[in-house]
Amino acid sequence: MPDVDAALQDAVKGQDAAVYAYGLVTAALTGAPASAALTAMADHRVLRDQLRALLVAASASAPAAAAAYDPPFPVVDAASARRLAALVEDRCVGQLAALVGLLPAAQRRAVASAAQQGALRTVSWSGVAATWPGAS
Amino acid sequence: MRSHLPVPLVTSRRQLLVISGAMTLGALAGCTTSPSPSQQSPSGTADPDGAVRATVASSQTALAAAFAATVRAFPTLAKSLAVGDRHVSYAAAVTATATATATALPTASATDLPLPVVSPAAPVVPTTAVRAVAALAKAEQLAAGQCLTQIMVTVDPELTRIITLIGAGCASAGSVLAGPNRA
Repeated sequence: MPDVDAALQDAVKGQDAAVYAYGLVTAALTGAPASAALTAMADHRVLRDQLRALLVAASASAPAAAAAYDPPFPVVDAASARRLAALVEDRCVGQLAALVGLLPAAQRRAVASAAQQGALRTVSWSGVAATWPGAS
Repeated sequence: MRSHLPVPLVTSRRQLLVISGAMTLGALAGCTTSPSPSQQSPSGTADPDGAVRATVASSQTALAAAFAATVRAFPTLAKSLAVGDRHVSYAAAVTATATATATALPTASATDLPLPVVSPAAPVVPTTAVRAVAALAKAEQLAAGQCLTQIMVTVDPELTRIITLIGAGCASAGSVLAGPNRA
């Protein structure tokens, strides 16, 4: 049986990475897409804090965010920014989905809803609705 | 400290097996409009998630039928409605989780909870293409919402993960059908 604390820690790390990634994404965008990126960054920050609170409540250690993260490819323009945003969102969806089944029922809905929101953001950045979100 | 971005890969070997099984079982799911909500797994042991599994499979099969009926009514929509092909895979994927679950998990009473049952009646397609697509978009959003309810009572973490992903897939398909959504 997978360890719920480990899954929570992975999810927190993923959300931290997403927050950082959206900093890169926002810097490469302008106008409405930049605003959407800022909103997404705020959403990931809120979710990270919620997941971190679950770890604290379970007396488990919450991972600290890294000072910086290496993106898998350079973010040099709007197209690469969109690609990074879609990739980060999709991978977060996969992490959150893996976490949901390990949580008690009362905590599942919020995390599963966050996974759906992530899938919607993936579509908004990529224009593609993958059959299986979270498979990146 | 510098870390790789973004998060680790999450596709497990089991997930790949389930998805590949979905490809195989897809044709069977398409032929079944009212799967039996059996509480028994293929191995004959109690399946604590049997009712949820049957409900999700039935819902996804009904969605696949709705897309197929809409394409029959409006053949020019076939390409844009290809997003609905996922529902055959979804129905098969939840069914494919039954075998592994039955031998590994204890019996629970969660299956006693009331869950919606999709009618096996033939789908009714609206009379215009625009309304038909809107109806499918609404059905996707409804299915996504139902997934959020269904994961509240599942026992098997893998089934829960799959239903969560199905909900995400339905939400994203609904978004595509609903219209321009690019950020």
